[in-house]
Amino acid sequence: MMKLELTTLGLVFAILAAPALAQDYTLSGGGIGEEQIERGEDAFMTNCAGCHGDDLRSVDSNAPDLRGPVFAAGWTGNPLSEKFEKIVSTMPPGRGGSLSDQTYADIVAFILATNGVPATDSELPGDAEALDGYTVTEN
Amino acid sequence: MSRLGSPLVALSALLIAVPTLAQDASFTPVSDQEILNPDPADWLQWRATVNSWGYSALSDITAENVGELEYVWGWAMEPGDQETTPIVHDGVMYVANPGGVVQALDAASGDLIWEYRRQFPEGFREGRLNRGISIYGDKIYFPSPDAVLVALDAGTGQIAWEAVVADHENGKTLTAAPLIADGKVIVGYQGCNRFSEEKCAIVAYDAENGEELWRTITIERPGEGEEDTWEDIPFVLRGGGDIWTTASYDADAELIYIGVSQAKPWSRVSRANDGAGYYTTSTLALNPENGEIEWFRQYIPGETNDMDESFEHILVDIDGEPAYVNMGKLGILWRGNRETGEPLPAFDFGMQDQIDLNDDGTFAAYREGKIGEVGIPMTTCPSSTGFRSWRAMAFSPETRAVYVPMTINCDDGVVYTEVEMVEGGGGNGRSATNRIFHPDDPDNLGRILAMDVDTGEALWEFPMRTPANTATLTTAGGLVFAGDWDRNFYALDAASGDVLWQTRLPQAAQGYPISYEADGRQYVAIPVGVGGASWSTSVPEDLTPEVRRPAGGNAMMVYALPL
Ligand code: HEC
Repeated sequence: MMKLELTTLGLVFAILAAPALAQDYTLSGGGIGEEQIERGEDAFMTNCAGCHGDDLRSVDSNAPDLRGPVFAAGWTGNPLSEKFEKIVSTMPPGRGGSLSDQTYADIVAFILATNGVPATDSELPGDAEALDGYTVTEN
Repeated sequence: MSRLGSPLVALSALLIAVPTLAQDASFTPVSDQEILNPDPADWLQWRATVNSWGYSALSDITAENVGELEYVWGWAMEPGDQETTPIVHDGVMYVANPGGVVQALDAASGDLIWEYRRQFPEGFREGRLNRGISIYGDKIYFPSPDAVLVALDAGTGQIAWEAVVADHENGKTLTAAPLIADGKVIVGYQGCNRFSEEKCAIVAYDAENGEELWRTITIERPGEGEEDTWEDIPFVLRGGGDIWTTASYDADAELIYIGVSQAKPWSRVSRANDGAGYYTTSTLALNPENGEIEWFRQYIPGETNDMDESFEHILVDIDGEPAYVNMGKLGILWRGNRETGEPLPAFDFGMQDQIDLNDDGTFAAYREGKIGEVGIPMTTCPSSTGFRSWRAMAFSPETRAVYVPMTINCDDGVVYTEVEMVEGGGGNGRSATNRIFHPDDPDNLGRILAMDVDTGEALWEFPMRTPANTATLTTAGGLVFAGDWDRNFYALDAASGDVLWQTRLPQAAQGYPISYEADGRQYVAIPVGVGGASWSTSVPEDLTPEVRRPAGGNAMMVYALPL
């Protein structure tokens, strides 16, 4: 039953330190814009923060964190379109698709920025097909 | 959008003072005797009676005449996450809406008697859910989403007293109806997914004045037991143990029974801990006098897949023994002696793939591959929705069966991850999942299971394309009422499972149906609505996309036989 070895335990305790707000991640395929991040922050606070927390730490037991280790594990490596489509179709719960695709993209830009993806002068498009070519990687 | 702090709110707060009927004069207080042995015309508690049967002793509506049921009145409710239970006393229905609104309605006509609107702090999320309220003496007890217990004058809706149960700014919230026992109002709270010194707890208040009498936290403190079941991790990093159902009460045994949720984060790998984690995933039997834990029973030590194993406790004697039954997300009917906590053999409904049981009804072991490892996708049946959840099962003394509202689905590609092991960190630790149909039931998400509590045999099973989305209601007329996500509301024959009546609702049946009598007529009330967790949102939206519903629409719908 003891699956967790001490080394893992040490690792977990070490990782705790990393509120990933520095430039920890790179976005390839395009960029997120300053103004977009601000728009996304507003939309996130209104539509998402009630469950996912205004600091992206979940305040609802069923909702995942959108930062830290959960972000590192869930948002990196795959086409960004996957997360985008999941958010558009299911969030907020029961009201999937209730915001415009561009607003969802703005929210994604805000989530990426909060996790340390640097801003550029281009913006994330509200278009799943285009986001197929975007990937987040850990630095 | 925000209606908080606006002059309108102040106005409506004043409006509560305008009782449209002279309710005050006619109101008869609810006595201790009635709490223990209510008039069948009333539905006084969350599950009707303190033994949590969810059973109405009314028998005017029967298998023979139920086909004639007709719509009598409805009442639209506030928007938000809707999972309510109405209660009824002396022909008045009291109901909590999402977003902190409570109303008293004439239970025969649907006329408004009074309304209470809670004013929340600035920025508080709108439309937060409530699963029920309570009545005792001359007061209604409303567990408010901002973690305040509000006592209202049952005749007028005026605030009698308020008690801050926990800190809503620290994520704490009240969702479950309080239990009335021993002159006290006893309520638990949830919101313990982030690491904090403030643990989830069960708290008792003096019903008359709101004085806090005791508080029992659900997490073992370091040094409390002989061996630390959290493997000596700091107290602040012990998460979970949320309470989101109502306790049951046995006045003879002088015990209350309440279910404690799993540890958080959900997976052992995320919480950096393999310990049993007392008192998570347990039944606590508490002395209502002082809150002391008289016995507890942990169903799965160190539970690791978000399987809440303890919801409502149905108190029923088995083989002449004072016993209880309880079913959690895995669909296992746990049974035990309710005076001692001693296990009785358990019945696995047979679709979970996570654990094995011993013959005596205790946990044996996790199956191969069912304890997550960081970053490695795994499959679990059920998914974290559970085969069942807050939608309570009802018991019928005539059939000796429990009627279980289920959603049959699995998690595929669940990935658990580390979490931030600091105060304020935590969360559920899951970074990905996909919901899929159960391989043994590829066409249906929903089911009502009738299970014999003595033998574990299925009397019958009633499949539904979408999830069962209400609690069940049993009646002395030999009926079981339940509804689904696809807006169907059914009356089934308790013995055979035959559909005797059904109707199409404007929105999903969602909440706890009840039956009551007013002016000599028996009614059945069913809440409808939207919101809630993935069982009633993303799971049916993703897996049964051909089923379309309106976007909103919370309401109470009331049915009766023609006059
Ligand atoms: C009412 C609470 C609530 C609100 C509001 C909410 N979420 Fe969620 N979110 C959840 C829950 C619960 C889950 C878990 C998914 C499930 O179980 O269906 C989730 C899951 C997610 C996920 C992970 C999906 C995955 O599996 O990869 C993302 C990303 C997300 N939400 C983003 C958002 C965004 C963006 C918003 C605002 C537009 C939002 N959420 C609003 C509760 C909420």
